[in-house]
Amino acid sequence: MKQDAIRILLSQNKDKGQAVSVSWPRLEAERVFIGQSAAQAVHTTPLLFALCARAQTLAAQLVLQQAAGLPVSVSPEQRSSITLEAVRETLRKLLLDWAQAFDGRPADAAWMARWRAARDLPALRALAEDFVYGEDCRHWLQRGEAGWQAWLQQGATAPARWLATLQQTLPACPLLPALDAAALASHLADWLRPGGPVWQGQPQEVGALAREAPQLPGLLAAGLLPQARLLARLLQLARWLDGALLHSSVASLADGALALVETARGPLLHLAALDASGRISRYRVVPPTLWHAHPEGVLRVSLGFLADATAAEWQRQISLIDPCVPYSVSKDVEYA
Amino acid sequence: MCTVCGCSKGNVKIEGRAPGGVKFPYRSHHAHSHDHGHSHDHDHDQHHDHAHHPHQAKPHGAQEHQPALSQQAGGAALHYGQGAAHAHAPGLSQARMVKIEQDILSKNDGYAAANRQWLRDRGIFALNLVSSPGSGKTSLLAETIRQLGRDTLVYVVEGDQQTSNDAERIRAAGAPAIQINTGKGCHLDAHMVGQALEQLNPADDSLLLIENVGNLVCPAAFDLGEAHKVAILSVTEGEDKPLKYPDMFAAADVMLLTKIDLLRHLDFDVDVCIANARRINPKIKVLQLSSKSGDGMDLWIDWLLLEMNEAQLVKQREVARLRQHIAALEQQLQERS
Ligand SMILES: Nc1nc2c(ncn2[C@@H]2O[C@H](COP(=O)(O)OP(=O)(O)OP(=O)(O)O)[C@@H](O)[C@H]2O)c(=O)[nH]1
Ligand SMILES: [Zn+2]
Ligand SMILES: [Zn+2]
Repeated sequence: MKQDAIRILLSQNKDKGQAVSVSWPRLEAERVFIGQSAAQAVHTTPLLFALCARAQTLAAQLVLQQAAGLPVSVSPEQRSSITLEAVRETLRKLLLDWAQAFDGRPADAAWMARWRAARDLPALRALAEDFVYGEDCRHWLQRGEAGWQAWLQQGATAPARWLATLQQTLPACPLLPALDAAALASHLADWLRPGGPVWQGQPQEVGALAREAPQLPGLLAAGLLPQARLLARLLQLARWLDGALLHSSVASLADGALALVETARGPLLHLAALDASGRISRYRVVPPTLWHAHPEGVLRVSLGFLADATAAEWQRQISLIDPCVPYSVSKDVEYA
Repeated sequence: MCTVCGCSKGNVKIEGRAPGGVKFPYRSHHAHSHDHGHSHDHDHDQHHDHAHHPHQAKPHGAQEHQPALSQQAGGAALHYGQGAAHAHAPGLSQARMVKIEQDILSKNDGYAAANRQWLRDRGIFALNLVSSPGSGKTSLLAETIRQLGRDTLVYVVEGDQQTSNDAERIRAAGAPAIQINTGKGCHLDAHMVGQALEQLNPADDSLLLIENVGNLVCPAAFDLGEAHKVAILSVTEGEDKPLKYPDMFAAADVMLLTKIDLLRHLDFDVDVCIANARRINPKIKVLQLSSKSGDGMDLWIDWLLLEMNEAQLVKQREVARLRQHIAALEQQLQERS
């Protein structure tokens, strides 16, 4: 189905200069679950949400079990499965989108063929060590901030060279702290606002940078956010390839339950309530994209300072934020 | 501050939150605009005028809209502009922060688009009622709620600078209402309305009426996510109002000429007034009515019901389209396996 695109509008105002507005008029497709049984909804989830389908399905399973009062546990296999999905997704992003954004074309067909064939962690690790790190993942992970700088200066791989070009400073959003479903349960209203989720009253940057920020104090202090953003993605990827697993958690609400599942791009929230007969009476999905496309979120904060930049630069910065749905940019609409 | 007139935005409050959940209709003692001052250190003006106080500014202007929740006996209120934590912004110069702060209309558009989609997904028909002070908005809303009767779910967002009297009148008429006090602000914006929606939690397929702050200038520029702006003009005002406030009459899809029961006492020329409005906006729909005598109310009510029905159909079609899409995908899956 056609994805609702993020709308980015760069407008020229006579007095105030340029301004950027961002919106993602997301259709709440999960509303079709209302009135359905839990089994139907779980079955439909990967069809309706094809991106990160495993994480979406896990979130649906967890939230509906919890809402039904069933015991909920997440097996290591389930966690491996969503982590593998995040690994493949991050590598796809590297080979296609980021290669396009930095080199002007996707990675060579031979790399893509290896990606398509790589179905398990060892194969994906071998691919990443060749294409991304140029060395053992664990060794690369242990380099630390100075070591990563030395590595990207050497520029032995394409991603290292891309990182070296990312020298501009950009303003930041606050970074979402690590949360689990229980911590979120008492702040749920903030995540369900029509205008997009906030934490402590503010839109946040979620995903890799938020999770890896403690590893990157130097880059963050210097405001080198684009470089920090890409490096954080590589850090995450290396961690997963080295055996770390993504988290998920559930919590009960006064009415219903919520599940929080980590994905490559940030936290994915599912919220559900069942009626007396066990049918779904309420369902909401808050995907990471809602954070990225918040009207005052990271896309707007970043692009607001790139109003004069080239289209290629916009594409690069948007692809680093990685909102994971298509976007459209329109320009030069003047406010009356 | 408001980019349209430069008014301050301090001291905004959203009231009427029932503690621990949403219970309707609100009992009136839950909301008293005067009850808050004690628990807070209101220092809004200094906090708000970002453009003039760049050292207090934050990267992207969230704080002017950051409500802090204060619990109090029997109720809670959201106060805009308490500006709790100032986020740090690595690598951000003061000048750049100011530029973003000024950039209010574009931010508003993002929130308005989100509100519009949220309402659309729920089949809710929303109107943004704008007028000069005292044109009869609240009286009209109360009468509208009465005439629509119990079968039609109506929710009201009341914008006012200071008081919560209007929301009280709406609740007395039988509809859940939430008051937004804009303090020194002269208009509602989409972010405030989004928050009010989250609290008001209107049911699917309902009618949402937003009474904007009495002001024919600034509200014209701020999209709230409504289906239509409705400009309300009472016959006690001049026929030339549409010409004096062209932006508003250009932005509105409907003009309501109110208090027509008073026409016989006045030398107000209805035809001239309508002609003036059409000079600004040839497509504007005009209805004449009096909430006091009831004249013309039936046409207004009919129009509301018709438009509500349309909004409900849009939602139903969307759900049907999704179900078809899912069925098609399932078909594909089966064919493959
Ligand atoms: N004669 C007559 N008076 C009306 C009518 N509607 C409202 N009024 C009077 O006009 C005055 C203002 O009415 P409101 O309904 O409070 O107007 P409003 O636009 O909500 O006012 P603000 O919220 O203060 O801007 C009151 O004294 C009403 O009694 C009407 O149809 N006919
Ligand atoms: Zn103003
Ligand atoms: Zn009023």
